[in-house]
Amino acid sequence: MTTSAWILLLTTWSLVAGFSVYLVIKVLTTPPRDDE
Amino acid sequence: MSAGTGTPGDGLIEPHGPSGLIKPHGPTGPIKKERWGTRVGLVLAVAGNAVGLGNFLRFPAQAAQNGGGAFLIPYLVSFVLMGLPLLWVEWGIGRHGGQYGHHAAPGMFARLGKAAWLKYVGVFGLFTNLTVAAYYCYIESWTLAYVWHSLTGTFAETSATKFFPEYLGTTLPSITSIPVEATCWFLATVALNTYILSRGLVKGVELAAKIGMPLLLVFGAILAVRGLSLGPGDPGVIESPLVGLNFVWQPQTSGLWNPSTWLAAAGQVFFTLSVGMGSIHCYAAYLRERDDIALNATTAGSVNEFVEVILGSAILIPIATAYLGLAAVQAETAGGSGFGLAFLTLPTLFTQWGPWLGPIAGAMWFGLLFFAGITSSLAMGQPVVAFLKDEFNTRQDVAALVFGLCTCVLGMMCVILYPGGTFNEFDFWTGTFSLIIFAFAEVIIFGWIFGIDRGWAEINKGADLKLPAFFKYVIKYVTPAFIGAVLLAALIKPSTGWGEAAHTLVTTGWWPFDPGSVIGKLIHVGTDWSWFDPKTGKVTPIFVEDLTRIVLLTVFALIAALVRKAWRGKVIVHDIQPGGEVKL
Repeated sequence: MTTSAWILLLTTWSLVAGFSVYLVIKVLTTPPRDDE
Repeated sequence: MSAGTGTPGDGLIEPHGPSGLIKPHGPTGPIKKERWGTRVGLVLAVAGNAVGLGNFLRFPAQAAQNGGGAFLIPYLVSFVLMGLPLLWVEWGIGRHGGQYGHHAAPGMFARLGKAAWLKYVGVFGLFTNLTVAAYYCYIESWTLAYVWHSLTGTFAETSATKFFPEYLGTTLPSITSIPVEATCWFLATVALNTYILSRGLVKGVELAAKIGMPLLLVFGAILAVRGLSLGPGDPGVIESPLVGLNFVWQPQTSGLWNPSTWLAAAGQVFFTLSVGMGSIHCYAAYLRERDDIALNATTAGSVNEFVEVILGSAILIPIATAYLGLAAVQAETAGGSGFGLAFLTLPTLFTQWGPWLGPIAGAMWFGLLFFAGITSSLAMGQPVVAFLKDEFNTRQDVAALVFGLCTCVLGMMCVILYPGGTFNEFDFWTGTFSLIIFAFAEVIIFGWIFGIDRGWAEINKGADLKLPAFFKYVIKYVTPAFIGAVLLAALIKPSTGWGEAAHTLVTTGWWPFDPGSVIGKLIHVGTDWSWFDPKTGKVTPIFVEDLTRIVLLTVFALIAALVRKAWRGKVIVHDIQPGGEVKL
């Protein structure tokens, strides 16, 4: 693989994976609303 | 419950009740509302709805053919400016409608303004789901059949390139012959979908997502790791899988300045998120009034991107390249789709992985596609079931059965007339064009008729994630412009480059429509418009295409008539607040 392809792949994968994992953790750790 | 007490579900008032008194719509007494069992279940179900076969088969081919790594720039820009806003809008419309007891698009859209025509925009939210489910279940049934044939060793004896056309019936003497095995698998798939839907939201759809999505991720991770670790020592390997990965990711920056690249990226984002269908609205309608939608919607969208950008680019093309070489893979994906590689090539390639791992790998690959498919087809069934329950008080199991029967009837058209082109017609008109129209309409209605201030407040009500305020303006101006560009491109996509087409228009006065554009398809560009073969007298594919279009138009009209029937005699009270007093 070329260097530019590696850079793009690693940057995009890190960004997407990081964002997804952050959000999934936030969903799992946010307590349910108790307003009913 | 008295007629004067407003609670979710009684915003619709029937002025002509049996006793002549004004009475709340729906059963009297406390209404037991159907809700999601868990938040994780909801997010997995919505992510499962978005994750489909396109994540694994379409994305890598589209990326490779449209600038490689450079494709990711317009792709991510489109995701942020069009995909995410559309997700929030659809969740917002869905939760808002759900507070009034509507879990399908017609009722939800009727609640966005006072105009009577709004509910008919919601017809798209039923039509698209029903008709896409018909042919989507057919593809889903292929994956189920391939799981079976992978495990039983069919592809060790027969190449998939020989197996698949026979399976589809394209080798049969007539374009109206019935492929028996494909029909059986299709009926089994529809029966499974119907059964799951009949179990209800929590025990059916949510449970399927909780089982299917983790398995999909595990299968995908195993195949990606195994595929990328293939080396010269493995039997049959002629090239490094990294060459295939490079094919997907090598940036060709010239592509960035090509409008086609941007349109392809916007189109891919659009279709991968399953927006413009009406299924996200339906899922969101089962939320409570102050349940979060900002975090849930963003997370579901991000999980879809994780599957698409990471797993989608790491399996199909790298593995195929390792065994076939880059030139063959480039030729196979030239049309921007990996369907051929997935169903014609990969099953045979997996046999190289040995007598034990080969069948298991094949079953994992097609199992992964099956889980991606069924979590999406269930999301297509739920709005239809919900519409029948909400508006006609149909029982859950009966509503699921009606969906199953409709899917069967429409799907059998795709099965029998596949060689004549019915499948492609369904895919184009319902799985592509209808989605764009509906998404364009909904974002305009949400931002301009419901009002962006109310809309933004609706999206942020109970939010567990603070959304940047500039998205309010993105939803009102940028997202409609994005979808408008996609719609325009779909309508008049030229057979040449855009610049060349403009030049042709100026010099000859004629726009060179691509046969794949909406107008090109309508006027059958590049084909001899004849319904019967003059030599044999048999029907031609043109006849099948036109017949399919008439059937689809009829289905749309029938759904519109059902909506009209459901609303006849009902008065919508627009100033009612969920849980508040009705002001008659």
